[in-house]
Amino acid sequence: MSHQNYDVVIVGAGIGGAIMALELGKLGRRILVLEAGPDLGHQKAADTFFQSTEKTPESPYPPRVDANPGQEVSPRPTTHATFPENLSEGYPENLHGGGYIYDSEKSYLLQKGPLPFLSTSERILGGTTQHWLGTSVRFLENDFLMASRYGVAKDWPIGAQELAEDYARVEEEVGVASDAEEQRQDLGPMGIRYTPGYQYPLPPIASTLVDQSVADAVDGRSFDGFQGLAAKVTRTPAGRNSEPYAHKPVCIGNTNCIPLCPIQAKYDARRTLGKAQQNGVTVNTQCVVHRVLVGENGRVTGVEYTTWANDNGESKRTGTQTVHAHYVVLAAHAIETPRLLLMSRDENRGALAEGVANSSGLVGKNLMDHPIYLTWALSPEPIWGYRGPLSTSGIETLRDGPFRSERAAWRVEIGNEGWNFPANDPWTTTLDLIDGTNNGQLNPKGKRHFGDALVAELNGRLTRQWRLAFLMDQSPDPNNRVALDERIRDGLGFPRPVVHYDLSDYTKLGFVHAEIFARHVYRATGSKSYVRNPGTVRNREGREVPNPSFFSMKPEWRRYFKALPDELMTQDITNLEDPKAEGIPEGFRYFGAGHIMGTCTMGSSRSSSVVDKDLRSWDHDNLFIVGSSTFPTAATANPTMTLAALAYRAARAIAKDLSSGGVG
Amino acid sequence: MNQQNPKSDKQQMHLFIQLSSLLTGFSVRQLEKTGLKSVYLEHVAGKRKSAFDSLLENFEELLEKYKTNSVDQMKVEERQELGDALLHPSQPEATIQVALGIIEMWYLGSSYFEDRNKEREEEKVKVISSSAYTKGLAWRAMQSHAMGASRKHYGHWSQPPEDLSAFTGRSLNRGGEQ
Repeated sequence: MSHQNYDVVIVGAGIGGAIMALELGKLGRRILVLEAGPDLGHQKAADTFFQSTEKTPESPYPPRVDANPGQEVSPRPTTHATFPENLSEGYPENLHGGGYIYDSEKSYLLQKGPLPFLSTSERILGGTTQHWLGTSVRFLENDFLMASRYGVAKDWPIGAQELAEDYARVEEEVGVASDAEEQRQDLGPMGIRYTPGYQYPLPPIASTLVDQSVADAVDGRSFDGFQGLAAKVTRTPAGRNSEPYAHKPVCIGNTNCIPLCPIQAKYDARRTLGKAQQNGVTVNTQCVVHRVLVGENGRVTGVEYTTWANDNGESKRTGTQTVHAHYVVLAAHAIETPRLLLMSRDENRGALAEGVANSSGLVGKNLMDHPIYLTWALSPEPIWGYRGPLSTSGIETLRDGPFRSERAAWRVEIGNEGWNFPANDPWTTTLDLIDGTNNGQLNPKGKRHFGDALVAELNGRLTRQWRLAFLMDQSPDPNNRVALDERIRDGLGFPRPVVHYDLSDYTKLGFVHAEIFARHVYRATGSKSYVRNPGTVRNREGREVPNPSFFSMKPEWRRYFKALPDELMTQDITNLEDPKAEGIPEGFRYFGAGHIMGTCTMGSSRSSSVVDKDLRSWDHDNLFIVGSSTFPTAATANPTMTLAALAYRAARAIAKDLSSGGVG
Repeated sequence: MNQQNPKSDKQQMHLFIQLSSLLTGFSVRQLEKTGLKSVYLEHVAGKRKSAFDSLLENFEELLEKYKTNSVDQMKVEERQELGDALLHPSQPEATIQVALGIIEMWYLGSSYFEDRNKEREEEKVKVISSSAYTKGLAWRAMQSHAMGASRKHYGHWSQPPEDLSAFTGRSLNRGGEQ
């Protein structure tokens, strides 16, 4: 075991850790970044992607999506793991007898339910920015003030105005393409905040024909039941080059931002890490930190980590190291950071203490996502999806309003990738038309096609496909949490994360209103809906079992549908065949947004939070936690800009300590 | 290849590319531009030799009726008629499965030649190569490019794409290559 000394050790090489490394590296201090995963070359990831039949967010990155997480040195959650064929034996009965929803040899997360957590992240150099979409939206003023404005959830200890300058720093680093004037116009009344005269570093990304068709139909319209809020299609701020930036090329519309941009026109954290290295920061990969060390005075003294190497295609443990540092920053995202704290021990607090930095008992708790309600439709005319970036616009104008005291708000993302997300197209429909099957609903007569007719029929379907995704502001709940299972371990022998997860009625009611809003939009655009919310799925043995990612409609919510005009209840708009359903869905299926949040919440007191507004641990004043794990609420926008803005703030707090000599 | 009456490699390739053009709805020229015809011929002949040989022979026989050796020169209705005969339920199931597998190979870059649904469920078959994915015809049939394989310029997505015929090499309204 060797010993090393640094000013700051940062655990995790995603965007949060990268910004900390760059900002502290500029001060000329000794900074070490430890990343659990490997540094995978871009070309290797691209080749894996092209040759994979499964093109899920994790598919280009190691370990293989079908690897057994019990044998891997650095496993991570995958969407593959939550496919129906990975349900545990005996599901659903087995679940309540101590088992997990998904087979533990398939799913890294040990899912306790009652509903599965569907979001994923990467353990690799660059972190989850390797597969992010690039959406770079700021939170609204009221996202930080849910308790005082609407009497629900919690307030943040910081606000939109206070973060405005740090948002601008992130947008500069990432190279965000947007138009501040358009944002102010559309979202100013909703509480988006900029410093005076602010302009984004890059002009906004060009809209697609899909965006334009939606805008033509809905812009300026107030739909019944939405408190007079007018819909407006707004171009989405994106970490994607509309002009060459940071020595990277302009986007050419690969429609592949997730899982990777083949030409790297989209930001990922390796850019920032590269600059940090030029400033003297050391970045070591394949170093799995498994313990935060606490000294007798209650300050942290460093971390212990296990190294691994690839030996003939097999990843193997090579040793254990200790590194000492004046400051420790945990930036390992919202599953690994609480897992690491819960695996560590603070001897000062005796045998009863659960983990480190956990006097509040909140480490791992309040796990959140932006559960997605996905709806999809055929436009009456070709709008040629599958072109341009995956998403270029959204409907942002219904993110805030008095309704937030009753139900979850959402942001609406308009997709440019046809039915790729809901139906795995073009594969499903192409195979349906070739084989005479109807898995994607677009070959109801079950006819086989070939030749000229195949081209014509396929063109007529695929060029009219589009979809909307509603990202719910899930309410925080301490019962939704990450814990450890000491019996089930990863390939290095460390306990695996257990996830307890559910959606509150507040969150579920957001789905009801999302479905109603989608009906208005489909009606306005003349589209036919193909939304399906299957209550059952077929498991590995071919048996129909309850769909784990489905929840039922509550009887008292049916009134929202009964109040709708007849034109929103036709079969073309509801896609419900059963006349007894009366146009009312039996329930809803949800998807993960990939936005893992809340497990090390920030707050204004040590009893109600894990870190303060500078992301400093209340229990250990030289320990900082960076990332969306610190979010007290999920809010109505994708988390990257906000977590990165907070990283600048934390970096300043450490820099201030270092310069005042406050070094332990 | 039939033992009694072996076809030359050249003949076999000619028949394979004509058959592919009939089954996919793309002109021979468009198929050749992918650079994949040899890989695909080898792939299908290697996987299902006897069913593939009888499919080719069947195709050759049917094609003779139309007094042409170019599918591109035929009328749309003639191509439909020829394909319907080739895929008629009275044909052996094995040759039909191979024909469907050939369409999938050109469209998606992966292929299943026997019990197609079962093979797919068992995840037995993989994408043949990176370029089999990027050159897949499903993307061109929707006037686009494989996800991850754009060769266009910034902002092209704000305008409608070129006509479908530019992608298939065929007009849908009449026979003959454009």
